[in-house]
Amino acid sequence: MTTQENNKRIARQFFEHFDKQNLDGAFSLMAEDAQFKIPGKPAESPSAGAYGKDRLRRLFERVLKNVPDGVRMTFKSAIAEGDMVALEMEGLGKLSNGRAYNNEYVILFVIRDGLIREVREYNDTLHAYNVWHAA
Amino acid sequence: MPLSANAQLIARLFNEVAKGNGQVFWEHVHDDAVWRTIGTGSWSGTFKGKDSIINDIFRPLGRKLVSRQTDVTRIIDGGEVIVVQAKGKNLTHGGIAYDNDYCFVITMREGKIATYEEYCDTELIANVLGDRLSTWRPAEKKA
Repeated sequence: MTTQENNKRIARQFFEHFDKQNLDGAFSLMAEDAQFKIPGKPAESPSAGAYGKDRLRRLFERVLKNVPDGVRMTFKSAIAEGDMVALEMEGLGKLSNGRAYNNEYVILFVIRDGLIREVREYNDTLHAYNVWHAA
Repeated sequence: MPLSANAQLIARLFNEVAKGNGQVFWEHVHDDAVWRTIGTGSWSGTFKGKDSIINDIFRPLGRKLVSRQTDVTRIIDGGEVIVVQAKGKNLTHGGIAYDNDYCFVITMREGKIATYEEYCDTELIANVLGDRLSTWRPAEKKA
């Protein structure tokens, strides 16, 4: 398997673990000093910003607590070059308050020596705000 | 490894647009190209054909913005599929900064753009650009 194919596999595995609510598995793929950036302007999107590993795990735990059956991740494409991977996917879930979450993402990873080093997420922030934060 | 011809072309097209030469960009878009902006707001959706992309997205956008700039920060070269990470620096006619973050997933066919998927901060679009249809007009002459 080429490095790029292996990097694609790691990127997919991260979100496969998230789909299965296996955060130990997901975070075992991240370097200790990894950075994960969530899109949006903090004034409008409370989850926006750069996250270290521990803070990201707390965010994921909050997400899964509010989506009891988990978020089903469907992969659409994976493009890799060098140590970079772009993963297109959709996420589908139902919040405990009954709202439907159905977002679309492209996630850019930097993966070196088998560990995720950087992640930059793009998603439909308007949908995320309306589902998670709007009154 | 050197960039593929497609990745080199995409880098060149963004450079040309930055210099104000948008025509070169449109010359490298297939007539049947499909543009998709994620989300469900008025600027979101699938636009089929170069004429629709120009008339239904870029002309309304041009009426909203007084200056436009898109700086490429990273290209991921997938050969037929090129991923572009970019930062927008734009200003509306009302003097509001519209600085969106973009990730474009561009599929090439025979040296031209066939599909263009735009992932960006859709909430920022809604807050700053407002309703696309407020500046949309029926089809005009071809660009």
